[in-house]
Amino acid sequence: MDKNDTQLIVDFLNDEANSFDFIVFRYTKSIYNFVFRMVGNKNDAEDITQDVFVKIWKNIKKFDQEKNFKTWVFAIARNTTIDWLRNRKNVTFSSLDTDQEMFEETISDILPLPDEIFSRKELVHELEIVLDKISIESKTIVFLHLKEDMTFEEIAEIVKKPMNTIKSQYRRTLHQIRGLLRI
Amino acid sequence: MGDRYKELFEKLNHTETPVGLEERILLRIKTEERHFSRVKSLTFGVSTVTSLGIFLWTFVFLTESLKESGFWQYISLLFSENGTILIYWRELFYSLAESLPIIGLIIVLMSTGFFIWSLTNLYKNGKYIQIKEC
Repeated sequence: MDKNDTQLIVDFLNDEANSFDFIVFRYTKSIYNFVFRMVGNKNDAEDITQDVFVKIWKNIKKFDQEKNFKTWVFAIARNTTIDWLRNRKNVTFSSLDTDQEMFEETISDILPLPDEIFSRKELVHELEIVLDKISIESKTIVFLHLKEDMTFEEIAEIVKKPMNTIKSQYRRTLHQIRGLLRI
Repeated sequence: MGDRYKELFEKLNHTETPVGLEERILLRIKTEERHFSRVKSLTFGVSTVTSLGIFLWTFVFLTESLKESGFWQYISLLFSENGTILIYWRELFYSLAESLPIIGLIIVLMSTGFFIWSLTNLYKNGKYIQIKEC
């Protein structure tokens, strides 16, 4: 009964009723959460989520079925969110980029999260505050990897950057999060 | 080492999806779909009428060209003098081919194709709207 994404896409392209509804029900929660983490506002997140699905619906014929649908969907979500941020909040291109000025050197290993930080009661709330301080790009990478269980390869496809860049950016972001949580 | 980060991100509250968001998304898609169908219907409607006009005009042009080229006279020979045709069939065939207004014929065929294509799409789109609205 539970059809996979490819089957649903094929059904939709064959004009089978309600097949797109299943796609919507399958991805709304994760897309909404992803967008919400990027914009930090429920109403805006809802508007953007709607835009994302309209774009998916309009472009699904162009989707290469050899590729991963989830990656494609998140790439649309990311691009739509960035466009929205640029248009509505006059966010500059540089603020959407990485926080490179803060981390000039490459961090080779991920530093562990110390017990004294990990055991804090308000840690989740603190993390939410910290996430607001890091760039959209860095947030996207850690969120997709840690929350959506995406591989670095998939994230590289979404962000359109080499996988090694994503890996080092991921390490830098965790280091940054760790540093901000220590304060 | 990254596990603690994963655990921490998993603890990160999954923001509750607004009630009825999926339905609103589907409704928005339906609205977009209806809008596209209307635009398509209008486009194909205009192209059907235009292509019909072009077809009629080129058809008149073709019949005029056929008259002027003497094509019908050669055709009438085909039905009147059967004996002569059997002897001079090759000459008659060449005369028919020569008198045929090729350009006019091509234009008529193209406009017919355009008309059929527009009409088919108009019909398909109309049928699609009917199914969707049922």
